[in-house]
Amino acid sequence: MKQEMTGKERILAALRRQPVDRIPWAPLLVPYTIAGFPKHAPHRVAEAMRTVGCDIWTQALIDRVGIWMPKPKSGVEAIKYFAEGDLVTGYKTPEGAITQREASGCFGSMTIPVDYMITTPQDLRIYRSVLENSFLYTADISDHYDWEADFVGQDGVITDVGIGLTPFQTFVEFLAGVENTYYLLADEPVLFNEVMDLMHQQRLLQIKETAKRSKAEVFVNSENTSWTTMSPAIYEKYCASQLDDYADILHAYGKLHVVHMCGKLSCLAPLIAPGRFDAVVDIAPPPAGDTELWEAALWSPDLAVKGGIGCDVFLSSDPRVCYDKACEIIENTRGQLGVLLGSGDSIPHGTSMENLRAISKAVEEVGAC
Amino acid sequence: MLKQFLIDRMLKQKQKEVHVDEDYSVQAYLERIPQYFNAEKAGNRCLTVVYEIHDSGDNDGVWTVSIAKGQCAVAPGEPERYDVLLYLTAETYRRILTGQMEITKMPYATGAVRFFGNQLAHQELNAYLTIPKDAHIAAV
Repeated sequence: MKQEMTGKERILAALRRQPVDRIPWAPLLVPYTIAGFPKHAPHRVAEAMRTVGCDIWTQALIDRVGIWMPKPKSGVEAIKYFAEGDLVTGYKTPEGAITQREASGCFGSMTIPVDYMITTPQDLRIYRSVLENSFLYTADISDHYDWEADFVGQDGVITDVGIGLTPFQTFVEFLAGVENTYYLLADEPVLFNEVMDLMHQQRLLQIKETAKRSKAEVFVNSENTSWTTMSPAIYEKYCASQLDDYADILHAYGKLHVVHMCGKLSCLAPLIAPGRFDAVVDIAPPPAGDTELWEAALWSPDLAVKGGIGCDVFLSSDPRVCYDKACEIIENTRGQLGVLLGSGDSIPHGTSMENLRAISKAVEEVGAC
Repeated sequence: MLKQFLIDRMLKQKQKEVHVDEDYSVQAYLERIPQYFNAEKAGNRCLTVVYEIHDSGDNDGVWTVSIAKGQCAVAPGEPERYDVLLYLTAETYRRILTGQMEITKMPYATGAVRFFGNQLAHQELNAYLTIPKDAHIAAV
């Protein structure tokens, strides 16, 4: 038996594909999960994870804000107001205005776009103008990191998700939606690619400025990658090399680069495997995804993987189902470096604390390496 | 670089302008919210935001901030219906007041505030306020 490691040591070692005392158990437990717990249960993410026996893994934009904002006197102005409870944001420019509308998510989930900002070629032209007239605004909020770090201690890691997504995924997820993104790509390929390139250059600067000042050791791109929204060719053109560029910058500043890929990945695996990032996390088996963690663990000798327990298992009425799935993953990955037990995407709303404790019990009983 | 320097300086200045004692009264700060209410910004909007403070000794309690018909009021207790209920400790609320926890992402993402209902309603309430400098707070 190896000397017992702290949660932080265990997670960082696994992400670096180094030996660990036992498999780390670091699911994506989020406010959406906690919203299904009893009212008086711990609600701070780190505290909830500690309570159910996880190694702590929190994802919040933590010690540096880095966002692109309109330059003063550029003629571009940010718009922000509320309409019937929804948040409307966007830009007013000499060429016209573009706005998006976000609504509160149900069951304590994140806010979700209900009207996209970019749906027509004219919107895309306006957005290019916004990008051309923006500057990188960064702000130090390290006091917040320190507050979280004091609380988490050596029990885990506080990851930074403030570095955004690749431009293409930003369009798919937030700015345009799946259908509009592909229509814009088909109808205005030159303009679309100009915007992608411009966004990528800005993202590189944003990541560099954030990474060089941040105390966080782990950075996460919340890509939500899935072949249900992109083909292998699209991934190769718009995501693979972009993620590699982010990895190179983060590595230059001594950071670990993790990519959240919670969708269906099987046919993208040959393109994901050579990526220069350190880990792919929140890998989902069926039904939400299509990849078991032990399958992903074989993708590459240079890549760590986290995830493995699917939403249907978490929602089982019998904690034994969770225990058994955890044991299955542990047995099927035993002896491999770079494996972290976690959730396929985030732990769904409605998961009981008993189910999470059952997985913690499995990790304790059979998870030693 | 100069622009960033100026932004950092402005933010530091703003941080100096906010101050809330550690042994503060949550109720006292909540009761001041109607003073900051800007009826022009709110228009005809009706909004009910509930603050429930827990595990905070004398600061424990429930208060409701209501906006309706161009008026804003604060009262103890929880109404039958609300847009959002914020469940948090006094320590977390102090961080919101001082701006150490900016309200758009941090309270939600960290789970420091558990939101019951429409989480954007808290940001919306703040959008209808004009907080003067001498209040020495950044948000409510």
